[in-house]
Amino acid sequence: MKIQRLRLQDFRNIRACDLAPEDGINILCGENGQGKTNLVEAIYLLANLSSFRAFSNRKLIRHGAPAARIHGVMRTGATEKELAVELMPASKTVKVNGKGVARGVDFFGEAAVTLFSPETVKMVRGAPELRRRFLDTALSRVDRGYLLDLKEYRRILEQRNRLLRMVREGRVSVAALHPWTTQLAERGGRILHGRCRYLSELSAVAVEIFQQLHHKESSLRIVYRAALPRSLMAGIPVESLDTAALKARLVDGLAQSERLEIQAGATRLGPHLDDLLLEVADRAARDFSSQGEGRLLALSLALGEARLFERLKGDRPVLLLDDVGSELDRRHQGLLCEQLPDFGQVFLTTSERSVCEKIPAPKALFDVTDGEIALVMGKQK
Amino acid sequence: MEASSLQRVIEELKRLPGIGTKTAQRLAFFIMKMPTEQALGLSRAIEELKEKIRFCSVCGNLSESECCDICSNPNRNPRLICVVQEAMDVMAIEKTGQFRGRYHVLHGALSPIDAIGPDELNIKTLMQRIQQEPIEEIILATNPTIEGEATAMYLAQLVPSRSSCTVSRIAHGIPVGGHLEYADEVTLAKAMEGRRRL
Ligand SMILES: Nc1ncnc2c1ncn2[C@@H]1O[C@H](COP(=O)(O)OP(=O)(O)OP(=O)(O)O)[C@@H](O)[C@H]1O
Ligand SMILES: [Mg+2]
Ligand SMILES: [Zn+2]
Repeated sequence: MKIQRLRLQDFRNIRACDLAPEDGINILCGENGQGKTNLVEAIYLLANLSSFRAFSNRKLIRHGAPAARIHGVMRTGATEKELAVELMPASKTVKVNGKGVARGVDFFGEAAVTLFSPETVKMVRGAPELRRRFLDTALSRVDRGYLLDLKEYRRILEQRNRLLRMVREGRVSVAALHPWTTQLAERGGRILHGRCRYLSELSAVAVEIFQQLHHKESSLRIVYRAALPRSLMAGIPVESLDTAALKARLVDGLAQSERLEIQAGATRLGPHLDDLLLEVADRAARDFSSQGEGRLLALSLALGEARLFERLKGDRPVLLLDDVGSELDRRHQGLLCEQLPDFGQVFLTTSERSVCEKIPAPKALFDVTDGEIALVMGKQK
Repeated sequence: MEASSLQRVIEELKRLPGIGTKTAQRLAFFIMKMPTEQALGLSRAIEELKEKIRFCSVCGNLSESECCDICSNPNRNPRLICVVQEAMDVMAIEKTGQFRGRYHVLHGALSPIDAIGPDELNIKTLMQRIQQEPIEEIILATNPTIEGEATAMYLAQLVPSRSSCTVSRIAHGIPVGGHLEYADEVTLAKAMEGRRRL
């Protein structure tokens, strides 16, 4: 997929812009605080209907403007489609080819976009939740069934947690838990299985990219850490179990911890508590990676996600690389730039002109200053 | 002009499900412009509804008397009972003309976050019926949502295993996340036929 044309109106500090990005690498260059990330955010929003750094529409609408608009013409093979998102302070409307879309899940997947940003790097050293979110988002993009399971899982979890508290207060009997436990374990088994299967593929790709980016023999290892009691696993790796076996483990685990769960008023095991262990040279990256190493690791995962998307869906996603070069030394910047031509349409932001010169065959260079985006190099359309 | 009576109608309409301020305003203005006879007709129909219609003491379905038409019909099979969430679901299944048993209306589904537990649903009378009536099969036709599914599972475990009563769940054709009242008649009839034992 590539973006043929992108129009913005009153999005963040961008009053208006109309771009015709190129098929290969598009560079967005500008000083700090000029609107580079804002542009990347708009493209991301067109694919995900939410931002990666703001939870309220109000922040996304240009100060003083009533609404923000993002309009993109996307092309996959020979088919073109128009996506339009309008953000109002308390609502948004979404259109595909001029027709309104009622539910967010129906829109998700209309645009294929993979993001790397300074936020992505946080997953290396941050809380498990950030790693789960990365995995869930990446997986939802290639598997709609997974997205639905995840939504239902969250709802069942919320219901079950509330019920655990009602049981603790003596308002309902323990027997009332059963239907929720069963449904939780069923979705949970599918989610676990989906994650393990996806992760084994992602890890193969990411490990290879990490080697190319790092150019050292320090190998990357990614392991899924399921919050299941050890006694139930008996040394069996979680990724070797099928959906039914995983569901059975969850049912048993939940039964074992029922008393504690009622005390705590919360479900204490399941995919909502799992983690990814990232290891470089046999050491946990969470504790031992340097700034630059952490960045290379997060980049390997994001680039791996893009590769895997192409393999699974037969379509190259648009790759958004925000502030990708910072914290990397010249050699690693160079190694990264060598990789880029292997991807489809890329949007790369940087505040250093010197980075632009390292990129092999950029197709377009845009200058971003105070929310104005101007084509410096490339075809005028 | 003092518009407080208009405002009152707007406020009353806003209590209805799916009606926001804008729609309520539009409807209120529409009612105001209606011929008096029509508007009063609407108000009388609502009055009559509240005076005459109540819930059947046996099954919880809508009824104009103590016991509903279905429960008091000797031609309906007393050995077969279909459990649904709402009275609307009874109407939907009746339209298929395929089902000859009786019903039981729960008036909702289990949902802890909405503070709806077993005691908030019409479950106690269902258990009494299982003991007192010659029921041989219970068909659980709650909605295929998370809450409807949980309710069906909960009821299935309540039916005493020693009883000669089998429990089944309608399965086919109803989209997940869907509601019975929106399912078309053919889908619903197939769903009844394709029920599975729990
Ligand atoms: N809703 C808004 N209305 C107007 N301006 C906004 C709005 N939201 C953010 N901005 C402005 O946009 C600018 C930030 O833009 P952005 O984050 O894209 O910078 P950047 O070019 O990526 O900079 P850096 O190189 O530091 O990452 C800030 O100056 C901020 O004040
Ligand atoms: Mg930025
Ligand atoms: Zn009745």
